[in-house]
Amino acid sequence: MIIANLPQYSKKGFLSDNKIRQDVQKMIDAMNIKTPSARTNIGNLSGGNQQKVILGRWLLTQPEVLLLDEPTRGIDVGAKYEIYQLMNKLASEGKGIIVVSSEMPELLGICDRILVMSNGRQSDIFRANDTTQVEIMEASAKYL
Amino acid sequence: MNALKSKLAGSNTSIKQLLAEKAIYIVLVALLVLVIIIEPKFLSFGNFKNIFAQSATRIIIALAAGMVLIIQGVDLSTGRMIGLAAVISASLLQSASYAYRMYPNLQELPIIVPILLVMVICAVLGLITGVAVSIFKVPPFIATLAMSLILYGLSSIYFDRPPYGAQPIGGITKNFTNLATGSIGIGDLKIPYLIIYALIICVAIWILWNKTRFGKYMFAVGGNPEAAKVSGVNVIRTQICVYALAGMMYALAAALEVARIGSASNTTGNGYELDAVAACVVGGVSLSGGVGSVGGIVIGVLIFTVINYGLAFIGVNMYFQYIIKGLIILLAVIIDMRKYVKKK
Repeated sequence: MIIANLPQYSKKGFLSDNKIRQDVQKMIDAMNIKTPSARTNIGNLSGGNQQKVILGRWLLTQPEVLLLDEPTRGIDVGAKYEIYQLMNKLASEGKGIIVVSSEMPELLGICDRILVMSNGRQSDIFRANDTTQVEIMEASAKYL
Repeated sequence: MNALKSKLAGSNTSIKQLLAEKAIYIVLVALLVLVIIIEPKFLSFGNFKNIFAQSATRIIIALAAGMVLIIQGVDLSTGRMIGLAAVISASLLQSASYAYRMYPNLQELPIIVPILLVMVICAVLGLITGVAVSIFKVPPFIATLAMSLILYGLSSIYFDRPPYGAQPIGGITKNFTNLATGSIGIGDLKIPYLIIYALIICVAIWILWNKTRFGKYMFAVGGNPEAAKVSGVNVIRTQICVYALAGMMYALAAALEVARIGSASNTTGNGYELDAVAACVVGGVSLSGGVGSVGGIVIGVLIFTVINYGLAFIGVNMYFQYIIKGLIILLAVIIDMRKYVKKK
């Protein structure tokens, strides 16, 4: 989980195992990741937990802007909900989140604004509160 | 055998799993016991000291080759790189009074100079290999195979020339050979220098692999280069550094071999890559990358040294050693593969 954040853990060139362990455990607890131990291979976890670990990996780098590409694809409903909650929390902390998704109900639910692409071009930008699935579909077909 | 296999696959009994995983060590112990039964004199402190000393250079080589294996590579140029480093360093370390000196008018250099020189040369050569693999996407097998041919040509040209032709480079200065054959005395105990060098390298490599960013990047790249790349690891830089560092380690081991053997030729080190990879595989380095440990590799090297030494000790036909080595490698890889088959 710490692979993207290593510079944070190395003072004088050597990794601080303590700091690493602390951060990983904090993230596991914060994101409710179900794993037998912090040393388990990521490949041995369920899909939803795997995704949470990857999210955790990038959150450890404390980004100002988070780019998520299909973050809840193929994940169980429980983990989906937890990821939505997490995104809301990050947004309320002032972080910027850009989500790429093909699930319209998901977008309408979690986004403030939705940018629709059509055939490689920007087609329209909607406020999620004022738009409908039909409008979004129309926009995505604009330049086909 | 089938009953055992299905039992192992189905049950979670840790004892059975442990047994299967440690089978290779059980084989080693069994061989050791066999040797000792046949020839009790094998069990002597002096003997084991010899085994450790002989393993020393092989350990350094195996650690370097292991590093390449860990990043999903393979290094077929190990042996020839050692050959090149050996002839260059030997040619610069001949004692002034030797009759067949390669550079008759060269003064005796401080021994650190040739050692550093070959380390730099082989680091650059390793860098070239690394660039071929990482930037030009040449499969490591091919890149190192090609490199090994080039290196053999280079070392042969350097080695086989007038006025002495293909005569082994000998007459190494005592200062240098002492590096390998000398030992330090602590009380009654005499510890060969070679063991100390190997120990230092082992500790340094262990720190590198486990306590530095580079080590983490290395294992990440080896486990899954794509995942590593999208996680922000500079895969190319990691790969190049590994090959360059391995080159440096080969050169160091070559210099120690020259000191130990007392001479060098263009065939020095020939075939060492197979022994190194074998030791790594037996020592738990996965051929699919991303897995390996210093301790495992050291044990792998020791296993083969013990076999070589022990079998020779009890008078077994030298060629039998090849058969046994081959069988052990097969056994080790079968066990390694089972770890992946079981998951499915």
